[in-house]
Amino acid sequence: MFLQLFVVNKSGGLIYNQNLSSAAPRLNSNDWLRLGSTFHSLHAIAAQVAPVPSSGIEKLETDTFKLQSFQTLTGVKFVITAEAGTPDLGGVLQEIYELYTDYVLKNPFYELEMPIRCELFTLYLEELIERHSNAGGAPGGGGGGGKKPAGQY
Amino acid sequence: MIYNLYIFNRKGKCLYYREWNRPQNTLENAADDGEEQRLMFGMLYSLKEVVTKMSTDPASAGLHALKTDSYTLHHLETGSGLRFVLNTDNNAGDLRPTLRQLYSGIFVEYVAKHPQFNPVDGSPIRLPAFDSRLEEYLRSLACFKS
Repeated sequence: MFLQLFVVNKSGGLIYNQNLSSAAPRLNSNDWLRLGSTFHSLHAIAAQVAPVPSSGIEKLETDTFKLQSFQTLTGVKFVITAEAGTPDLGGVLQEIYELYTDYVLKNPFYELEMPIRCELFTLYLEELIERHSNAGGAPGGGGGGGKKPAGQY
Repeated sequence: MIYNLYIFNRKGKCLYYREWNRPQNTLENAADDGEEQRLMFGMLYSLKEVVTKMSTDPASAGLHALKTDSYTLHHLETGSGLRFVLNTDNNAGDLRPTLRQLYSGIFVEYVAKHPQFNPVDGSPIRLPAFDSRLEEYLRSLACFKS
């Protein structure tokens, strides 16, 4: 089961955060901002202390949850957490990235690097999460893109 | 393939560092040679804070592993705050049992029980028996060279 999602821009600012489950810990907005920028720095430090050339954190495994992050070529990081034992989250992250390009980047009112406030993005994100949760918590499997109406923001 | 191993005490002093394969060290030429170890501890410290914040059960928020595209960091924190950190490539699998054995089977036997070991002052571990037992154990693992 998915727990939380957040998106960090290329300078470490939090631009989106969402709890995906009622089991996820409730964080106030200061905690969220701190979490986003701390993750951004940890990502960079992980590359610095690396024993081999590396581009930074991709996954974390802990007692209670796992975290997976996906960094786009433009430096935006999508970070999702799920309960421990959930299979690979790469597929879901990829689909969220697609939603971001379709409903955030193509939105004429969206300014780059600024917080995401796009109704359709949130709507289709909810639908995506629901679809994957119903598929028995097996993200990335089949399904493909949901119904996406073209030309609407 | 196993790259390197760190042991930290709970105050962040690096008690032990050993490397077997290390193609890259970005802080090799740092003015102060403890720089790299301190950065590693700093990362673990902040990671713990992040993990505690995001955990569904704040009482149990232990980090097991951190994966990047090229290496995996395996992590074990003991009840006394000691941290064992082992870096490997991404094909090593789950090394939690290995770290536990390293702690309870080797560290406790050869370091904690050694009369010269002082758990308080955080001085580096220099015990030849520990070195050789550790070396022997890690070399016996399937993931050491492959």
